[in-house]
Amino acid sequence: MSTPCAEPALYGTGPGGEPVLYGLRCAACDRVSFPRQPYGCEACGSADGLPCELAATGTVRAAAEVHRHHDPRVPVPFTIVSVLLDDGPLIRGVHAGTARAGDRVRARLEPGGAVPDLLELRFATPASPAGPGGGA
Amino acid sequence: MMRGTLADLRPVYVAGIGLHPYRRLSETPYVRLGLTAVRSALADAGLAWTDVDSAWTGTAGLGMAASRRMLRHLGATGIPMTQVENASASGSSAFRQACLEVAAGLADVSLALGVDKPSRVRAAPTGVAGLADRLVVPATHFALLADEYMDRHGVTAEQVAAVAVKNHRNGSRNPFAQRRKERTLQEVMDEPAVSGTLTRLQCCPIGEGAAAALVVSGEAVERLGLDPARCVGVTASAQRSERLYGTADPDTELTRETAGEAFRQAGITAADLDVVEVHDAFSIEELLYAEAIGLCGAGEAAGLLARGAFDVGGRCAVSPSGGLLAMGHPIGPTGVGQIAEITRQLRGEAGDRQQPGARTGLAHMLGVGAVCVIHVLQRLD
Repeated sequence: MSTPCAEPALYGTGPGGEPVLYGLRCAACDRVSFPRQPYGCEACGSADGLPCELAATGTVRAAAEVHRHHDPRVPVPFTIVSVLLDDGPLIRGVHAGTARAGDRVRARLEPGGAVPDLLELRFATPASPAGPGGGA
Repeated sequence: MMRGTLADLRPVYVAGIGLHPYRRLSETPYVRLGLTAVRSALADAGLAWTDVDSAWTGTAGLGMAASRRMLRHLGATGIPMTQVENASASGSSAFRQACLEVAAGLADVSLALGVDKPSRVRAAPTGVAGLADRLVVPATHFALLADEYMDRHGVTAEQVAAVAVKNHRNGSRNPFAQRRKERTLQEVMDEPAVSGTLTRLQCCPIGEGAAAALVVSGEAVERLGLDPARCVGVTASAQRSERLYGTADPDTELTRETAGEAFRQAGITAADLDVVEVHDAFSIEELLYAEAIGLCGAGEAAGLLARGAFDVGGRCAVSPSGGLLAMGHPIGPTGVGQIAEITRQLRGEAGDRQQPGARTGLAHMLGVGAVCVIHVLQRLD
């Protein structure tokens, strides 16, 4: 993929071009976490974290459509989801459409965010409409 | 973990409380807000400023050195003064420091004060951000928890909004509350949605204000001729920080752990509680924490609320002050304001929001991060 990602420290593409999340596996206790951080493992305190890639697929735990945001540059409404990743961590991200608990979701990289030339990671359910500029 | 508790030390009491009403940001300097609360607490206790041995000020947004620049106007007595910042739990932690200092015998009378004015406070930047940290403001965080709770327990958005109806009713009877208007369920639901099912009146107002509590030893009660019938015992002070809880909500689990520690210190159970003030910054929180504290089982809080169990006059009055939702959440004062409300309730001086026969109360605050502070107060006569 030639278009750069909006947050290259958090996500990118895997070997097959699919979106992946950049996580961390503790070398001492095996705990998998997201996002990566250089400071130490929350479970055991070890500073030896090994970079790993997490599949950007999971199940929606909760969803909220946001109607008001303090930053006027952020267009509303948008949907935030809590996603239990198939690879372990419970994370939060933007959903491209509407979602409800129990939905299977898969991330895609798509333009149309705050910086038009960059790809943003958004979760989507199979039935979700593509975001502006089309899906990945 | 902490190796000792308040219960290992000498008994401490709240002898005086005072507040400056919580309200929207005004031109009034914080000095005026804080001094109003302290003078009121001194008068309430029948104490002079020269009787006070130390001062702890909970504040998150005023900037450096808030205590001495305010308290010097009561007379420069030279006592130690310290600011305490613990996010939303700043005032609770200030109160805890005052309790520990008196219990340890280092002071006979200590002031716990909370004072703040709205400002652009921010958490210390860690250099690490998740996918949507910029987008997930507190209202959205709690909207997600509300969605999960409703889905898991078959609870409706109206049942969650009922927390705000109760707390606005309580706030309408509290002269120190920022929101003093009673609201119907229809009014709460008809307000603009902020995030998910949470409407504006299910989110706390952040304004300005001040709250003060004077913590004293039994020796001080005798030596200074205080009225023992108006002194309320502090029988537990528990403070913890978040551990890892798998995929469970950390604030709820942290509350459960901290409440357990507080109950062990005080030698009581949740069934003994007559009044509880919780960190109800958003309506859903009151349901989560009522269950975590043990007032009822998981998923039962919404039904009990609907049947009046948490009303003033119910089984246990929850947020009789109006809580953060209606009394308000000026940050520094909030935790001390809870102590003031519970003291008032246990003295039987809460007027038309008095929980009948209240003898045991609990104050619960969370601070982002997260930390949790819980105090148990009891009538000891």
